[in-house]
Amino acid sequence: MDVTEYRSRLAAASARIRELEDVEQIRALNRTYLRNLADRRWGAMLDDFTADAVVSIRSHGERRGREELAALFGAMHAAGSPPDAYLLTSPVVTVSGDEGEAAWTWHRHFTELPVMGGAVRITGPWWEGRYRCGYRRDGERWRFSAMHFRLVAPEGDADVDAVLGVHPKGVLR
Amino acid sequence: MTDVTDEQIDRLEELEARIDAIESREAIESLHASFVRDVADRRFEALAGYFAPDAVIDMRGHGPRQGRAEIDEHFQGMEAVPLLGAGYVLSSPVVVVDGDHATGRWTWHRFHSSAQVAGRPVRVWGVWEEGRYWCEYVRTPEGWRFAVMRFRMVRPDPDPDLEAVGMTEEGASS
Repeated sequence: MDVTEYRSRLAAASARIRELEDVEQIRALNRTYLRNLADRRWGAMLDDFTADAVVSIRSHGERRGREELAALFGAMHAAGSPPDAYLLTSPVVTVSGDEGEAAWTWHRHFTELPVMGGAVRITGPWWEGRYRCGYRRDGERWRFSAMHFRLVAPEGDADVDAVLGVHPKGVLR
Repeated sequence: MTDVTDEQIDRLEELEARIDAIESREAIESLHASFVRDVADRRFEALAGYFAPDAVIDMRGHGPRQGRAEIDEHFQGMEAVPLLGAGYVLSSPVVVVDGDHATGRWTWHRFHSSAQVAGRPVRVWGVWEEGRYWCEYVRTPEGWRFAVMRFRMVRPDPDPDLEAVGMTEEGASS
């Protein structure tokens, strides 16, 4: 092996390690975001997005940029802080240079149901959703550049197929 | 640098092998996660593509099936099984890569949200099943694919042949 080949292979190895590190950082970003969402730390979540990020969460409509996103998080904050459990699983992350994308499976397990102006403790109900996200290297860290989220089960959102390419599950009648 | 020493070459090749093992583990975990997501989304027509041409599956009481044609027939047959709004969680992967082959053990949960009562579905919460995947994977020209997939339920009511197929053995921790 001559010096040129050695240097080329060493540079390629370094690039492969960097890509593995990028994938891990993106997973950590998404996991931290969801933990903050579960803990209702809305203020900490805004900085996870690029200044021009596009976000589409269920029926809330498309939001662009941190100002619109702050308004969305504010509305979600006002909806209360139910003691629900969140799971984020099955990440499939790909990175190309300074851009990344990923698919995730999401579950929310409920513990309270509203009754007569109050709430009762009940365990069992859950939702399953999907994240399709875009990421961008932004300075020294990764941030969300796009986030699309829809429910798929037990009853999928009406536009889940159009947005995520997932056929809605059967609906109880 | 004017010359490359044997020690430098050995260290580079060792580094490349370690990177390949990590990349392979990542690719296998993505393969299995995508497979289960497609099962959850009932994209049965896509499932045979996750397997090597001569792969073997052994799914609960269905008996072994070998080759993509038989595997495709098995999964497409699931289309006829009604299952309204079930949720799936795949967790705790332990994937061990050895060159172009690998093994993987996973935990699987299915959350149900409905049951059939007098021929009609009713909403039921809290019902779940836990299963185990014991799989082998092989590197193919198209990337990593399943070579062997064995799946059994373990809780709350284990499949009757769980012990016979060796899935009650203690798994390796690394």
